Amino acid sequence: MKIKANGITINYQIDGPDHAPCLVFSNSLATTLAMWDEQAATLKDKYRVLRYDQRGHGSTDAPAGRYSYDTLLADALGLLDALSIRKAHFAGLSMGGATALGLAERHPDRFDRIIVCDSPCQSTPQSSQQWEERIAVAQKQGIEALVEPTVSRWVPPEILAKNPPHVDKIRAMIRATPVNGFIGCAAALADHDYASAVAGVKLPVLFLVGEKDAPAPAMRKLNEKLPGSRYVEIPGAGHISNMDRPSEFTKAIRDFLGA
Amino acid sequence: MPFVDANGVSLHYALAGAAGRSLVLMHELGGTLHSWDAVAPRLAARCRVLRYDQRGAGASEKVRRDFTNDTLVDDFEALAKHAGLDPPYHFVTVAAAATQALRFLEKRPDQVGALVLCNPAPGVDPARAAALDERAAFAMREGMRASLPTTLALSYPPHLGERAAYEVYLGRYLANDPVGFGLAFRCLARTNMLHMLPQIRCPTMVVAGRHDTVRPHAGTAELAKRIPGARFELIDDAGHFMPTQAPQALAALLEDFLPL
Repeated sequence: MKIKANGITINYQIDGPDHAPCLVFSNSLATTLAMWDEQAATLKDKYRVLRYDQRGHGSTDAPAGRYSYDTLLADALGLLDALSIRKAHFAGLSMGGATALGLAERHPDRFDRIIVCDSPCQSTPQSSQQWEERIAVAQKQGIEALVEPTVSRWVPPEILAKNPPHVDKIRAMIRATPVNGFIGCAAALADHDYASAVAGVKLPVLFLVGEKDAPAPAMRKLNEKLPGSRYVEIPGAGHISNMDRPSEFTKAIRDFLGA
Repeated sequence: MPFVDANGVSLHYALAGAAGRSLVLMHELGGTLHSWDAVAPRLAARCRVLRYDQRGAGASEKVRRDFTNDTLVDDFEALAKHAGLDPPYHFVTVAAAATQALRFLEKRPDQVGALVLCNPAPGVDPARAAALDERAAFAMREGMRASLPTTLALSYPPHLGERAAYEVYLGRYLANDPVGFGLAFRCLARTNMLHMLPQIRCPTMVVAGRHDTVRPHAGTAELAKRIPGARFELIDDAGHFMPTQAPQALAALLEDFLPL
């Protein structure tokens, strides 16, 4: 389904009963709402699952230029407004994880519970430089050159060595990412910080991360800084923890939302 | 090829060339001094060429304890002293070995003549250390063959360069001590010399391979922009390991760039 919001056309999908509590899923860089297939199929029994393609991804518009996190947050709010959803739980992974924490900090009145997955929620001087290098690769060589470097960064060696089907699904999503969207969102990732203000968040937050994902240590610190938050590691999972270990990931969400 | 006991370990090395400037060839993680077999003889006609197996690699001692980038730089200094190789040194590094040349430059800026950084991996974001440790642990536990899909399959697609060179490289790669290989990965995970890039004041050339799937060349070109005055070159037929994949093209660039 498509709808106009925040000046662009956003692609979204809703599964589950109309009157169930709304649970939003926001995707990571170089993926689409299809990353949440397993979660939507399971959680639609108790939730109205709304997932969308972030700006520059999937079938959402991919305008040229460098995006900012302010814009990504406005996209999410715009989508909720357009769909007349007053309140929702919000879950996001990596780029979407920072989107989730940003929304919790800036717009707490619109959300119930927040699930931040596989994101340190801030850029560093080093990560900013790496994003600029990847932007240069996308511009000059195209997305294909980023597929394997990205997969080998995201997927733990144990899983990559077996090359299960979900890794090919990840590859296909990266490969299909519009160059404009990659560059726009990479620029947003090169300059964001929702970690510094985490202690002021008033909503219940679950920090959920793959045991073998690089941001795990940073997310433990986020959890320590935010009183009352919860931290769960998914054993054996890497960066795209919800696809590496879908049932464990979904259970962690169900436990948190049902608590 | 002789051995020397230096800095507490046995190092296997080769020194060629009777006279001239001092050239140091530093191999990639997973490589050995033989990675330079098709490059070194050509250069040895014009200068002194030192290459060696890093600790834990090739025929150098199979260590069992963690080491740091500083340890590796100390290894080099002890070896150079033993071999009678005088500064200034002209370093040619592949991938992660760039960290050693950059650390040496930081320590002894007056002893570096020039740098050639091939597909440099000059440092690791501390936030990613745990993920690299994971790769190290996997190699140590499962061995080199199990690591191939996540390592050599990316850095050395068999179609690059001479097929025979690939077969030999693969054999050497599988002959690596997985623990030494893992320790080198763990060392890299804790090394970050990126701060040196804008501080480099010696002649520097950055060389990328068009088919590098580990570090795409446009990213390497972007990195090279952070080094004042650096020359950037792209080798069409090379991937991540160009001394083996495109030795003649690399040697020609070295002869053109280095004041040999």
